[in-house]
Amino acid sequence: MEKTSQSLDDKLLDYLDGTLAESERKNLEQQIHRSTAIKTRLESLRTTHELLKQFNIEQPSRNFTHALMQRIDQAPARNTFSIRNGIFLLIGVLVTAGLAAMLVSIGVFDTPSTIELNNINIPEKYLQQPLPSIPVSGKTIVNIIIMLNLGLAWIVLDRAILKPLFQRRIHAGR
Amino acid sequence: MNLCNFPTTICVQAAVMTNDPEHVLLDRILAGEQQVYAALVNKHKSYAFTIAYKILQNRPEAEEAAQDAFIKAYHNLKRFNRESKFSTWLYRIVFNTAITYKRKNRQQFQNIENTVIEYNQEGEGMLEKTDKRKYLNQALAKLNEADRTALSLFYLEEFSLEEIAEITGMQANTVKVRIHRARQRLAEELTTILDHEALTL
Repeated sequence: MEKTSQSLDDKLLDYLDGTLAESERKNLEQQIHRSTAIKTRLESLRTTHELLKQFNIEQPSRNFTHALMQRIDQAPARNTFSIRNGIFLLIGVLVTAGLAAMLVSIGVFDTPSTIELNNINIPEKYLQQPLPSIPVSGKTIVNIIIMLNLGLAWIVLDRAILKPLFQRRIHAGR
Repeated sequence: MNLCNFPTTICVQAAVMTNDPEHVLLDRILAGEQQVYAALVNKHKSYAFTIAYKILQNRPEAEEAAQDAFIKAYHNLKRFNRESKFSTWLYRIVFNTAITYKRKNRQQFQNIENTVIEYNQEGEGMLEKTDKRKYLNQALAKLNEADRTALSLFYLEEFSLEEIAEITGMQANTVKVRIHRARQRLAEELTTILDHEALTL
């Protein structure tokens, strides 16, 4: 049997959907009338089209809404973090804090330094008097970073690991 | 009666963005009237379940996926920007949730072009409509989820191509082409079956 082209198939489907323009439709009907191959192809597509038109809406179980409304408060929006990712993040945060603590303990940040504000290029007309030097303690800054890391680790442990874990257990036990 | 419990500017803004009457219900849900959501669930559960079922091909799983999608939608109502209909937004969530379920279950997609439909030898002879439908369902099961969902939504005649595109995350033109190609493949499968039936008569 002669095979119809892709564009002709598209036209035949548009014809079945009723989306062809009037002139195109008439033109196609003439082609169908003249060619047995096109007529056969149209019938094949029409059979599929008619079967697909019998698609029904599927119905869920009767207690769908009731069961859903019971779950709605008990199952809050899923955490974007999986427990596994939470554990990786926690390890990362703790390793960072540990490394920083180790560097502090071996005295890497013990040397005090200062920020000389007078070294900043500011036009003299704005300066009434010389700017002070600000002492900077690297140790203090790193200690603050370590504290922030530990706080972050605590939040990660709670939100990304313990909370989802207990929620999962609660739902599994229901 | 003023159904919108939010400041007037927010209500007016929401009304201007779309004409979806369900947006008023969303305001009530956001204001704490949880039972209103049950009404929305009742209204959309059949289509939501149908979408999930077309993707998962398994009723209990489809029900679970549809319920999860409704719960996700409920907890993310504030994030719904109201530029589209609520139903379109919801069905997109259903579609994505069902796809995630499908991937989790590691059910491999089989391309219809590389598979052969098994013929039922007992049923040879007169091919009744139920047989045709059965073969059509077999062929449909071998389409990928997006094509099957697009085709189902198209034939449920409830959605425009643009809405189907939004639900399935494709361009409207792509949806049209994929629906065309899917129907061609299905027609070819059915023709093969019919020829086989004719030969065995």
